[in-house]
Amino acid sequence: MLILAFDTTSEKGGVGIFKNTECLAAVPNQGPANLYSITLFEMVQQALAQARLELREIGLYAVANGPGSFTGIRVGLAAARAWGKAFERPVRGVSVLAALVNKPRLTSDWAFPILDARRGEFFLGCFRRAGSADLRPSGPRLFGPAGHCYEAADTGWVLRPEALRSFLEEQLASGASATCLVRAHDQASQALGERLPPSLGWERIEGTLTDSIASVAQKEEQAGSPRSDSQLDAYYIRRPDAEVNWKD
Amino acid sequence: MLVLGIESSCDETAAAVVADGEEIRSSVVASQVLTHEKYGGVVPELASREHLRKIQPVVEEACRQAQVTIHDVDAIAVTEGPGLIGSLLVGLVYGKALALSLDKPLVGVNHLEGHIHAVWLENKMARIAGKPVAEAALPAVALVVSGGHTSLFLVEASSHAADHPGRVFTYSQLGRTRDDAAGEAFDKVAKLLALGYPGGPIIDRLAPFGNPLAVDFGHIKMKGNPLDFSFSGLKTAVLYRVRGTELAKEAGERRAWRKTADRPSDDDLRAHCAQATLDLIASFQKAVVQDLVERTLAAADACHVDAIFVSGGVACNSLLRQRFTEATRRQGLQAFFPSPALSTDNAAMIAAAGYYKLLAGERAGVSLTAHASFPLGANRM
Repeated sequence: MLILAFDTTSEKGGVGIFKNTECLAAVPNQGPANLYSITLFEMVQQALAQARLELREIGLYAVANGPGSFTGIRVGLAAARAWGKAFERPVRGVSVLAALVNKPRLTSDWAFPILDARRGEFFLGCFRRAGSADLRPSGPRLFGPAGHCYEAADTGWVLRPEALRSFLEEQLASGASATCLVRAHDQASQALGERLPPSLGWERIEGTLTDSIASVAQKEEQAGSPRSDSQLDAYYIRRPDAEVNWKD
Repeated sequence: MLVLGIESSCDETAAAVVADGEEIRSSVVASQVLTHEKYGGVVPELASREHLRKIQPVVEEACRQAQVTIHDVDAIAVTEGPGLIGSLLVGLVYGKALALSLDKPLVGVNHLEGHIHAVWLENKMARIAGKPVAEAALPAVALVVSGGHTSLFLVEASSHAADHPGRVFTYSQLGRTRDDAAGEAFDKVAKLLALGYPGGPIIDRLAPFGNPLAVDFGHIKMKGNPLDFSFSGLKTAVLYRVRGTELAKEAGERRAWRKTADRPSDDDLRAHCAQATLDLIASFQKAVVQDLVERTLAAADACHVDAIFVSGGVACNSLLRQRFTEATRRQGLQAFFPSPALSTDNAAMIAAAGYYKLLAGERAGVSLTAHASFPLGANRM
């Protein structure tokens, strides 16, 4: 299956074309995150040229649906929906948190992807090793179909550093092993590690996430997981300020 | 030529299929009024989120109603600005991705140009249908007046070569608001008086029950370009008339009542308005309308044109229509308004404007993007 995977949720996004797990083309974003309405199309053209393919040959569109830049998320999803519509091909939205967890080989019971959410806050995902005892009450499984090493134990959160630290310390206190995953360019998230218990595993994820986005989407497609509307809506996690600050 | 138009510049997700710039095959608009109602105005982030949810179903519905598939469409026209950047990007990226992937011609359209074309489109449709309407001939002065815009343009057209059906439209900006748009002033006054949202239609329906001469707001004076507008002073004058008075107390009571009332009818709302409030509303509306009509007529006079186009959401205002019709008749001019459905934001106007750009050979490519600020034509004044 030919997969066009792309990530416009941060400036470290990009486009990749994959034939199952083989990467046929990879174009990392070089510009700022606020130009994806142009650069996404340029990167897709470059990737198609590298792979000597046409867009109509793509069998699955895999798009990062968040969290991250609100505008970037929407640009990616709007384009993905249009391409899916144009060629009647499936579109899968993949959370950046799930893509982070899917990237390295982990052995811990829990995996906690962390992203800088700006404003002194962090996005946190909570994934447990599939089949393990339930260490926390399970929430909706947004992006954890069968066949994944890890499944989502809950929806993501936006947390301030102190809340994030106490959550992670609580997990370690339960005796479970845990790994935090942060992106190599994400200095704010990495700085968190300096004040966390050393027993916590720590993985820096280099490069773009397009390979992992393609992989998650392909597994979901092959498993026949239903393509829900919510998957193709943005996975913002953070509520709009107007809603948060609204006083009736 | 079948053109798919896509419009998402503010709080309405719209798609339309228009044939040859003169036949609306479908026009679908998904309004976000309910989303923004409690805030008393459009919240940009909420608008962008709604656009993303609606864009695909709206385009699909437009194609379904037009009985075409996306593959049958000959070209795609998208609004590229001005507007809310997050909102614009959703429609623009969706349209661009469709067009470039299917190898269809793509063209970006200025939202204000679309509003002007709404007049032209509807007039053309009426004449084709044999209705006894005058031709909306060019040159004309166009007033685009809505919640986001209040601008005056001189619109001119020249023909292509004799064997070419297209026309090239040119626009010169004569004036514009320096602060609030007229529709924005309506919304803010309605919010101040706890009348509901959107404020323009509510004030329009309540104003006939008040005395428009009760409060004399005077003429709005402008330094510099006399064809510019300013409504913030008028809005502030309403605020000063309300603050610390019985009107403020009454508005507070109305606000509390509105929280318990489930979509009150106009009669219910009127029953919760003192006569002094209705008088204030009527006087405010009269002042706004008078200013819009006078400056537009002055523009027509300065440009020596006989036709006046009035478009945008505020063009639905019944007093504005009445005053324009009366004033233009007195002066031997012609005023043209689109129907309410084409006055407010829609995609048929984008498809219609796009049609002429396509005929003129305009094509957009990968670099097409959205612009929050996007002037139409050159400044003339």
